[in-house]
Amino acid sequence: MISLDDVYAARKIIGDKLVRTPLLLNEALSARLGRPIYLKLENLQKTGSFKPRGVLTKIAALNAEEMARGLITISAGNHAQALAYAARASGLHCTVVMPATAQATKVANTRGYGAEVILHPDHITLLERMQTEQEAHGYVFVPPFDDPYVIAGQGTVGLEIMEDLPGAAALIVPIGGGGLISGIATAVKGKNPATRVYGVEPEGAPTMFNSLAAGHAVHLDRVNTIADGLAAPFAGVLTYEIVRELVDDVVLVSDAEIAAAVPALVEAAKIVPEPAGAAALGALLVGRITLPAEGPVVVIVSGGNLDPARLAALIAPQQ
Amino acid sequence: MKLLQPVPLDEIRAARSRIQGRAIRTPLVRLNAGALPVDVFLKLENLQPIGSFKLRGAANALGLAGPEQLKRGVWTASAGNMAQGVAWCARQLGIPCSVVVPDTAPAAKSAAIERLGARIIKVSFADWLEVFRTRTYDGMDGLFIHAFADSAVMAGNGTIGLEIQEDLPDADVVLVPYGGGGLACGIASAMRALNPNIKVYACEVETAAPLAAAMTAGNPVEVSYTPSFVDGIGSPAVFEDMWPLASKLLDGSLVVGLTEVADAIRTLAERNHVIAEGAGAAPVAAALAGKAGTGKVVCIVSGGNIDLHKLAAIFEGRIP
Repeated sequence: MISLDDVYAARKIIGDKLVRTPLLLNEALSARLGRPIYLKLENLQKTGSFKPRGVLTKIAALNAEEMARGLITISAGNHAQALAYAARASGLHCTVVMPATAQATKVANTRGYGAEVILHPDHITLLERMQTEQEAHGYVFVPPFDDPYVIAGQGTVGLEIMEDLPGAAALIVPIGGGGLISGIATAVKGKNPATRVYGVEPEGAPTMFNSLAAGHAVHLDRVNTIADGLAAPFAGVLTYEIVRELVDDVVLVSDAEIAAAVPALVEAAKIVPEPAGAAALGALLVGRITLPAEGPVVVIVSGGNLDPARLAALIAPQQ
Repeated sequence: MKLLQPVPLDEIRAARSRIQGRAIRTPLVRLNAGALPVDVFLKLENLQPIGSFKLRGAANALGLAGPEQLKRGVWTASAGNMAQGVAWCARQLGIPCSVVVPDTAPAAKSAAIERLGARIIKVSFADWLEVFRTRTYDGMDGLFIHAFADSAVMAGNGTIGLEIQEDLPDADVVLVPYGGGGLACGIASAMRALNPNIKVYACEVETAAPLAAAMTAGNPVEVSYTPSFVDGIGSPAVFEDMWPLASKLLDGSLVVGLTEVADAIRTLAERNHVIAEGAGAAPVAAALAGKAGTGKVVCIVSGGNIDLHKLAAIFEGRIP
């Protein structure tokens, strides 16, 4: 398991290379929900999501021989951009296998950071395609979520929240493969076990929800959600164990509920969330989570990488 | 009224402690826009609780007024953002607030004012402009807060300059949207005192650019004024009381087109994941067009209050 000390160590590695993102009390959402609502703006992080926190922590743990071999990963976009960004900063080779359905912006940004991008037509066999490339070239795999260093890095989000708002009653965190929530729960429960941590998954990609029901980390046969950042087809073994141990509840939201939270954040907070970044608010707005009776609630806006045309469709008033 | 002067630094510093707990200290971030000849920084005032910088001036003006002055409430004249700033502060203080708005005001802004509990009085654009000169309107009661030509409001706005100086002491240029001039002159007052080498430019949109025309003519002149989606700035003429101050404090006015502003809104959303209204994106448009030269350029992203249908049009590549 990961400890609070690992998260502190990750923060030392990250140093001032990344943004300490703001935690902002949102007036409009607080009025709407009748309690203080804070937003943790990871969409303002470098590369537009929380992901470089974990990647930088992982790269720092590699030895010189591993670094020389170059890096590879699979990702629908945010992990890809983060790895490409961090690899370039360290002068390392980077290959990313992305689903062909990945958003154009995310593919372009990953290439823009200098990575080699391989577009693979099928979501479910992404991992196999990556393994083939890895074996052919000897690259080191940097996992998107199921890795103790990656998890510790993502945990720095939780550390910052607990420093800025020690009295937080609850945090709401989106779940793809579970790396972000595992890190955050480790940090938050380490600082204050009374603070609740809730996970939110799309109905179309219920990896952690199904894993908790099954009693082990499961693979899904198919995923289908507008939240491409949460469309991991499997839960991590490590992340599943941490979520089972530390997370208070995991709930599901529909695509419509996620979609409705995008314009809500645009209007109330003047920020651009991608659907994954709006999922946590989506669950809160429909009352899906049984919160403690009082106290401030922190909503994690995990990222903001979204094609402008898709954003237009999500915010245009319905006819 | 007495002639407006640059705001002394100690008044701006006093304003800073007065507005603490109402306005936030906004982040200064780099524009994530790849290789550019200019190093663009964004001062994200759109992240303020009401979505614009106006809270700073409103909170300072109300904080300076005593309970005696506030007991009959407050009122202001505003197209939207100042109204929200004053209404928000009035609600926090538990006093009534009224707002005179032009009937051209966008729906999003009027609705936001009413949600904050203020009373709205809609008047013609000409009558509304007249309120800024006379500081009176029939039926209004309580303390009038002028949206820009007020030293307390400008001192509050000047706190942005203090934060920029702390976060980026080697900034070369600051670009500020110019509507009434209270933001530009407030920030310029601070920057002039803190960093004599820095340049401070106003930014205007070509469909309503009276400051640029006044600077060319040497005195305020009437210009043609076409309303646009850039509704937070622009008027037919520079406000006369502000002209002596603006002409003294500002290094010039950079004028940008509507297409450049729309492109800047899209860039801010795509690259930095924030929403700017037209006025708030005008400095970014000017910087990206190279109008502020090279070096470290700080753009004041003054606000993010824009109707969703206009925003959607911009993201689709159209000018709303």
